[in-house]
Amino acid sequence: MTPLRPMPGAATAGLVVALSAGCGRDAPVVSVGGASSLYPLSEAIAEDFAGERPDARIAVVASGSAGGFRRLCAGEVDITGASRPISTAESERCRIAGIRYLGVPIARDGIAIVANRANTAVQCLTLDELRRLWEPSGAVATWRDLRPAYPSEEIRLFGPGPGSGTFDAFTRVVMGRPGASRADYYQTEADNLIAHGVAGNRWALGYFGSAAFAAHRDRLRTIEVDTGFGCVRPTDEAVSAGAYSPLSRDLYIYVAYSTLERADVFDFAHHYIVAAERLSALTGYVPLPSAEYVRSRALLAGARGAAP
Amino acid sequence: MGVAAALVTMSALILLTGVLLVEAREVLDWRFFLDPPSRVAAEGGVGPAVAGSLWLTFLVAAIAVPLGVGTAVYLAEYAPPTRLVKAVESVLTNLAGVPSVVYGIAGLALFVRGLGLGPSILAGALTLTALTVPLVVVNCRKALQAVPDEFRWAAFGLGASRWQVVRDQVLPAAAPALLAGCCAALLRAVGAAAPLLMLGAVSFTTFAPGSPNDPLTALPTQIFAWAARPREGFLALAAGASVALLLLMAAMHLVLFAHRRRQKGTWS
Repeated sequence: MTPLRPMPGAATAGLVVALSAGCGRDAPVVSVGGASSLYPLSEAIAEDFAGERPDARIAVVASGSAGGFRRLCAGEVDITGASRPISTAESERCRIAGIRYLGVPIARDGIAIVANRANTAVQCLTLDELRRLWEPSGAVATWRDLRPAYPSEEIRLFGPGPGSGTFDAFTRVVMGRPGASRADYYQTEADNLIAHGVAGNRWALGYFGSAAFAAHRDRLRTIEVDTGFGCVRPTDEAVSAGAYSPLSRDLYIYVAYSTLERADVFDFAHHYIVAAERLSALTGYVPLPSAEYVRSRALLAGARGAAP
Repeated sequence: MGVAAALVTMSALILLTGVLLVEAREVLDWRFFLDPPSRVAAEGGVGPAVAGSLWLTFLVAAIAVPLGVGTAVYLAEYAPPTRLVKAVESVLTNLAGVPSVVYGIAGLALFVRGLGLGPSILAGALTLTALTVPLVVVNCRKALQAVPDEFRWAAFGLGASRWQVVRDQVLPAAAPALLAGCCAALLRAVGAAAPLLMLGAVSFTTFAPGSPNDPLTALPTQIFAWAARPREGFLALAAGASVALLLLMAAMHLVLFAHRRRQKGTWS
């Protein structure tokens, strides 16, 4: 009979070593949170930055615009990406927590209305038709309800849910107030699943950021939108020039003033603004006019000086 | 009948591994296991996630095993069968069946926000420990109860104290089953994605975590993050990360297997 070896003792000793190592001074980490629609850009810029500064330690997490602001104001992330400006309630929460922040626009994105490729009957919808389709009462059930010339097929709807910046922007523009929307549709934060749903049903309709559309070009088509000045497709040119407005929105990053004192956070935020112009196209977004980036860099430099 | 069942189980495992290997064939090489993730699917790797999962395994094992085995020994060998002890036992059994995502919500409130650990490896390890300890206790208590009472009576008859009985008779006799019980519980912790996602596990880091205070990253959450990406290449990465997770679990099984081989012949 073998006597029991003192395994628990060794394990406990190991734990003590691990914990004391953990309590030592770590190299700081730049943590980036925020909107899932901005995640690919944050990832690209973090990788680009790490290429120039191999000692930089950057961690990116996708948490949605609302989740990102909550984490920024809880001091859990240094920088957060958002597909809408911060709301009054959220800025109030930040103020109570004593966290001051700077928000700068980073790129532009359209909200693409997407349909199945097999659906050739629908080419262009007016803003008013979109409103009737998505209004909270949910009265429109078939395409014929929307326009008598369309087939009497049921419209299956897919789209982002509350908590998504795309949802906020869409409801603000189409319904006139953020958050107003019918709820009897397939809601998901994953653009991927929206695309999958629309691709699987000939008469389905969905919406998501136009940056995500490029990956699904072979399965989906965009619907033109008529805002009173003719039908416009959300191409890069139309989004950048503002022709697709108002169904386009700016994407932002928010940086906490207090963390800007750290050189690595400041440098990364600075790099974000500089590289966004070059990398936003790679991730499907439309870069802002150059003057916007120059202004943002000046704001960032000013915020660092103003930190208490 | 038993052979047929074993064959079905085995073929399911082989099929699963085969599908993963085919899906991941383009990304699997040595570089993949060491490199950080990348925006370019073909250049991505699971280095930080592997390091994160190793940290989690180590920390959870170091906390949950002594705590869980100790509790099991107390409940099985020392505790009088009072109503309180019975209640504790049934609470632990119920806790062992609670879905892992629930532990994530508790961990977010307790460790990430309450203790101010942030979404760190340590917060993840403590959350997974909370999930693992009840399982360890339930598994190990069964292992201890399986040791025949004659062992205890014989030792008591020779004048051994209760601790001597536990240390020299019961624990060695139950060792293989104890080890298997702990291993099963740890495997559940290593494969858990939901609680870590609740805590705010990161899906892209430029570096491998070097201390428990570093941002939380692990293989299951990395698989989830990649599988949710639309582009084809990332699905291959998710499959590759799944292979890495299976390898890690297989390594844990090997440790168990080797230990059982050594135990053979010493008892029963």
